[in-house]
Amino acid sequence: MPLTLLANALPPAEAAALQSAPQYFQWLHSWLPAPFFHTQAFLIFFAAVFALYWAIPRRWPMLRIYLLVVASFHFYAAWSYDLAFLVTGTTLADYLFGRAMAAIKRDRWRFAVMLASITMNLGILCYFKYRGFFLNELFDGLTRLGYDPGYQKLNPLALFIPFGISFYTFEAISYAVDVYKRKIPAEKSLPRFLLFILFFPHLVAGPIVRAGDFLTQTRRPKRWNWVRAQVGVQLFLMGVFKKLAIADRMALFCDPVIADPDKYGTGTCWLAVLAYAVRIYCDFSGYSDMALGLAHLLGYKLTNNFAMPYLSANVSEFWRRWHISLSTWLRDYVFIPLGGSRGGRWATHRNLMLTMVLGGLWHGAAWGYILWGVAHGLLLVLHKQFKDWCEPRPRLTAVLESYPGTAARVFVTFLAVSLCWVLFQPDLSKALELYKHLFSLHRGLPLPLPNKSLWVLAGFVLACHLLVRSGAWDRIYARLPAPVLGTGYAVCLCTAMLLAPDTGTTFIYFQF
Amino acid sequence: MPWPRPAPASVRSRPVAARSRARLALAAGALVALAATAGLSALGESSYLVRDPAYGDLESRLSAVERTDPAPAVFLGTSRVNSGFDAGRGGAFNFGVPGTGPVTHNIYLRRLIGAGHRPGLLLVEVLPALVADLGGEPLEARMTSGSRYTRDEVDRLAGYGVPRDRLDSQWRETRTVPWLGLRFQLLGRVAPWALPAHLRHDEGRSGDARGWRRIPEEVLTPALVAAGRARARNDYAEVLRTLTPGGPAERALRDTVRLARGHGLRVRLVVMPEAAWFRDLMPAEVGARFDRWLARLASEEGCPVTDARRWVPDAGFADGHHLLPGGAAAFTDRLAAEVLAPEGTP
Repeated sequence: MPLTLLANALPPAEAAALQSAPQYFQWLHSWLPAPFFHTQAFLIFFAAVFALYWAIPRRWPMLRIYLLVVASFHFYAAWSYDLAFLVTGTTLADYLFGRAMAAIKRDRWRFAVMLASITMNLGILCYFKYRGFFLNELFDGLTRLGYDPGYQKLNPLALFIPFGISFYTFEAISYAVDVYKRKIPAEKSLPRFLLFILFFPHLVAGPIVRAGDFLTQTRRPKRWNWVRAQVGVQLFLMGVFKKLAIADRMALFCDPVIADPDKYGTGTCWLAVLAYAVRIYCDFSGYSDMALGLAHLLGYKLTNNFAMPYLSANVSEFWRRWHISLSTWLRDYVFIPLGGSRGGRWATHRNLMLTMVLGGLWHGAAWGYILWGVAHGLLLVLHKQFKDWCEPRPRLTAVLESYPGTAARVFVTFLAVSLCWVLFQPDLSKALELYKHLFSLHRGLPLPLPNKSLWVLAGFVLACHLLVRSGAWDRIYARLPAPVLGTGYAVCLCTAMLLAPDTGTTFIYFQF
Repeated sequence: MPWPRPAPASVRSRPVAARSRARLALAAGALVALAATAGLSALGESSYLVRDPAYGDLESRLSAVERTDPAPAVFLGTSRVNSGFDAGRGGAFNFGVPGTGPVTHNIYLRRLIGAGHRPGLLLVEVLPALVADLGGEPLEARMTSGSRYTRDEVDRLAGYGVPRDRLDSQWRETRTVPWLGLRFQLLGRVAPWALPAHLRHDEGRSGDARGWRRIPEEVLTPALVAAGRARARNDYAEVLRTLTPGGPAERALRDTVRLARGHGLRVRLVVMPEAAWFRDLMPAEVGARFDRWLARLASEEGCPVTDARRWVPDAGFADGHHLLPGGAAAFTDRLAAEVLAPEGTP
């Protein structure tokens, strides 16, 4: 019973590889064709795992862990069996590196082992994700200079990029560094370590979990808890609603404009930028909510990835609220090791820029993502400068911190972040074209749907944010009788399906 | 006097209360979701207004017309009829639904007869491209969704070559996850502005009381007209170039004529007007083959045919095959004079 919500999720290269896969994996793929949480196939898969997991008696905790490892492997292998073996193989290697660090006493050798682990992980990441970009850029550069590159340009569609490689690579690196720094002990149990990396709710698009948080949870006895199940269901439904009813609908407005800005007028382009900002947020936070919800239903708590980032009053705050698991990772493993803000103004600015460029590159191997990182780095530097300038001016600070001042800062931050999102796509030329149309008067087609539809959705998202931010939601929630709350869940699910467009989109962050 | 407050829960009772609240909320959510799903599924199965609003709305309007005019002429057709037949002028009823063809018309006639409608005269559109024998499924199958039909109708559609797998899958989805399978039908009724025009299912209610939906020529810019012509050429040129009528579409058309006859209805086939450039998409030898086929069909079924392809000058079309209001008036007046009046309707 397929959900007719998704376009074919399998990229051409993987689709070709599937033809030569062993029969078992082809059969698996026919059952679970896409690793998306809001498809009927996945829900059936999850229901089976969920039922088996809680059917296993509590006195056999390891059996539950084995079940989750096997389920996670199958979840990935249904999409690409060879890459599932690759991920499992590198995880095994990371486990052995960790054990080696635990066994070795001398710091120099421990450092070498950590370096080996990082090199292996980054090497695989670069090979799969950045090889095409760098080789093609080199090809273009050499050709422009009149040299014969001696190889053909690579077709990006023909390259295998394992789902979620950026996410689990960062998890593995943080584990190696933490073990080296003796922040956490090396994990002795291989199944537990495999589960840390392969746990299917976070495997393909995060949140990026830390070994210290997750491995501790694998040791706690898991008891069925209705409150936790309610939280899980609530988060999952919220994620489904964000994805189907908001993100996929917003794609109807922004995708045609981003694909061909030349056809559309200036006003339409601005509306498309607004729609794209809402879409990216609801798409990724919707996925994260689903992941958190599924993990809760299995007794695990993953890091919260979003905290209403579009209500941030400045860019620094935005990065404390947006993709929190990545921004804290970059802070802990890049910014602080680079010196953080300890080395004076220019060193801090340099560290910020380097961290954000790396963050941009993490998202994708294309100039658009790199420039997106540069733009955010510049915004962070500008904000820091502005903050320092405001510090000796208490009256200005008071005005900025008043209600109207805060509202203005939130608006400016949202505008800046939204304009940066224009760069957040593989095709830089389209981004530049869109900028041109945003800042020059241009007539063209209107949005593909009536503007009212966009305003209603954007207004709904804003109203929800304000309701939560003001604390009103918590008060209402606490007083809602259980049957009303349950009816709310049903309404949320039915409305999400009702508002789903005719062809859904894959998750934006799955490509990373 | 202070407002009475509930006694504070003991530390021990709080988790218990939270647990029972969570359990009750989840149970209530599951029950309401199941009830809402079952309810909508049943509603979809029982009401065309929910499952197939384009048909359901037109059928309601036909019933309203029949209160004053018990046996009007009914013109069963596609979007060409929907925009091209100003039924009020002809004292008839326009049952044109975009995205349909001979197979769907057969289903619609069965529904109409089943609901007790007995038109004084049944006009059935023959759209040349839609009667093409493509060697497998009829062209119309590309626009047919199993979500709009009952189980029996799905079987009937499959009998006319519409792929069963796709129909079954859409039908099942509509019955088991109706909030998803019927979403465009429902949303088109409550918030049509949230959907693109082709997904609103509002063709049956956005026309006048007799079903005619005029094309708003005042909003047609040269760019829109050019885009419409390009789309028409793109949709039809290839099929018309090599058209051989026959196959399941012809079978459905013949069955429709026989079904109507079997219930004592007078039937006439009508080919709607086309602009000169659109007619030229069909090469001369293909045109002759189509004319021969139409004549043979008429003689074998004993059913008169009106070929109106040349009735309206090119200025009367929006895109070469959909009539503007002026073109619709010209076509309807001639049809009324040459067909409806001699047949005794109205």
